[in-house]
Amino acid sequence: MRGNPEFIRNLWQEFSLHRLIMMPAVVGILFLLIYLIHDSTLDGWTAKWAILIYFVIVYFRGTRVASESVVQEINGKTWDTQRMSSVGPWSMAWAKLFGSTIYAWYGGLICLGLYWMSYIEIIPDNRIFKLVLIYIVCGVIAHATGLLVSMLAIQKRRDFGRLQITFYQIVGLMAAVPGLYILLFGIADDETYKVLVWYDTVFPLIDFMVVTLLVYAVWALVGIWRLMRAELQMVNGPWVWLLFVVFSVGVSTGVRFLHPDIAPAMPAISLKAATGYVILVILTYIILLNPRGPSCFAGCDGM
Amino acid sequence: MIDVKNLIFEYPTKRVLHDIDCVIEKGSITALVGPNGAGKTTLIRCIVGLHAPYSGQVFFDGDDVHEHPRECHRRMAYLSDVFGVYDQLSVRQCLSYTARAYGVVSIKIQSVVEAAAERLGLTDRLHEKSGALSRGLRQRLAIAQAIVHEPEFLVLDEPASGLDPEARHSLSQLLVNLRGGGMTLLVSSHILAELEGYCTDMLIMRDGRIIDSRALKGAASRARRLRLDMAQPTADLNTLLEAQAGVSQVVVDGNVASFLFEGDLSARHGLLKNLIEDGVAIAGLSEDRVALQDAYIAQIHEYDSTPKDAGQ
Repeated sequence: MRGNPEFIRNLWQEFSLHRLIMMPAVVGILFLLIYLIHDSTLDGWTAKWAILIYFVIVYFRGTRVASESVVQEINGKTWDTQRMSSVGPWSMAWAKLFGSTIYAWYGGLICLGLYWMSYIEIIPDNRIFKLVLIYIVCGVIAHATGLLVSMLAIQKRRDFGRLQITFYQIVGLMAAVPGLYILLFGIADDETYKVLVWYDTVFPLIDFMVVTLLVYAVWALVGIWRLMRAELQMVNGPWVWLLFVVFSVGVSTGVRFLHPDIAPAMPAISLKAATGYVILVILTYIILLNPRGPSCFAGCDGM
Repeated sequence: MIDVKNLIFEYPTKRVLHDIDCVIEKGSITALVGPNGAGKTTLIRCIVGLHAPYSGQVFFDGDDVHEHPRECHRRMAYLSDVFGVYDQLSVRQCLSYTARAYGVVSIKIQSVVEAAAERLGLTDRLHEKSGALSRGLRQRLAIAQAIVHEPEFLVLDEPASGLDPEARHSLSQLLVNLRGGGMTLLVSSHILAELEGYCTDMLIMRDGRIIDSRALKGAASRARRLRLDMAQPTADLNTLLEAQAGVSQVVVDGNVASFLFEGDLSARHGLLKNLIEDGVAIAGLSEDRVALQDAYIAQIHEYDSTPKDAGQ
């Protein structure tokens, strides 16, 4: 990490002494007000406020800056210099993703600390850990999706306004829905009936979410890495994309939500077929949006 | 150093480069000139590997730029006509970032940053934010960023645009110095008189084609076009000039004669002495600064008056 020039540049740009002090001061004052309004008690209510501030900083602001990170290089006429540099596609990918959002993460981690403090007496540590992990991974996926969509867009056009960036941000935010689901439907409070069946095995919903979100975060990073390879004049083969399609269909067709004491509401096969079909259609549509997508089949030497 | 072979580039609805062949010699400063829309920037971007051509190849010291772009990029640099710098960073941070990004090892970062700043006259600005610099200083910073990793081949697209005369003069001096240090340069510009001051070779583009490629000076050609002003016309001046050693391509127009002259300053002194002894009423002798422009315009007119194939 210390040697990645792109990440170091982001650190220089994002962290000034003023900004370093400002973030904890603003978040601290906000939370203090909430705490005082709530009769100086820490519980689920203050935890929800902490996570709401986290949403604003990490999901909204973070996804915005992630969506802008490459687009701003193009608008600022610095992208050619970066494309010709010695920074490899993987280093460039993670430095863009985590470097541009580092300030949002700085604020977000303070919020998650306050969230943990609020719940520490109420729910077990390992459960708080899983919830925090879901919020973090949802943030990474939202940022990665915003960046991914913006990188798909730069293959078609090289001039961007606020409207386009807002669109990429919204698409990124849609990837944060699982985090929002937890906030709205209170998975933290009651999990008695929150299980699902995946290929005839019953999993607690929260465990299943943690694992699948982590795996999809890795896939999102792989997607950015491959688009970065294309930007750095490297040839991508079709195999990784095909693997992702097969993986997504495999995961989604095995999933059924049900109550453990109630028989399955609908036959699994139709749910599988419907889910698989929808996902295939969406993924095919996405690859058709990508002008380099079909042509990547010509270069089968790369992954 | 650079060998472009049968290069064709197309946008979805238009062919922009038509079967380009050209060579850029090691140690040269090559001027790439042509009217707006001739395809100069597209050719440059193909040469540095930022645009993938429809067909054809670009070789950099024998390496195919589009087959091995990463390897070639380590040894070249490109500065676009519309460049950017990171406004929030200081000049030192900008240079340090670029040096790291182009693979300069950590231990050398400070020395290469200071050397680049020194070359561009930015030493006393290293701590200033680049966003606070004037247009000319930002241009200098951008060039310093381009050369901080000491590339062997530097490509500048319209580097003098927006610069005041003093800054342009400094730029010319810098380019000559870089060439003196062993760098090869390709410079696209509209300001032909300035290019003539430092370019050794010229490529003229029109309608996506190279219509002329010539050596201007340097090892291959030491001839300079001189302009002779006279107080009164001299009979048979043409013959008189052509009889002198090192003189060729004489054009006489009234009281002014223009010719190519190959020789050093003492040879030039000998030429003047001979002409005065022959009774030529010399009022002045100077290097003809518009020779490049003349050559350019002549080539463009010649190309325009040549019938084109219907399919082109």
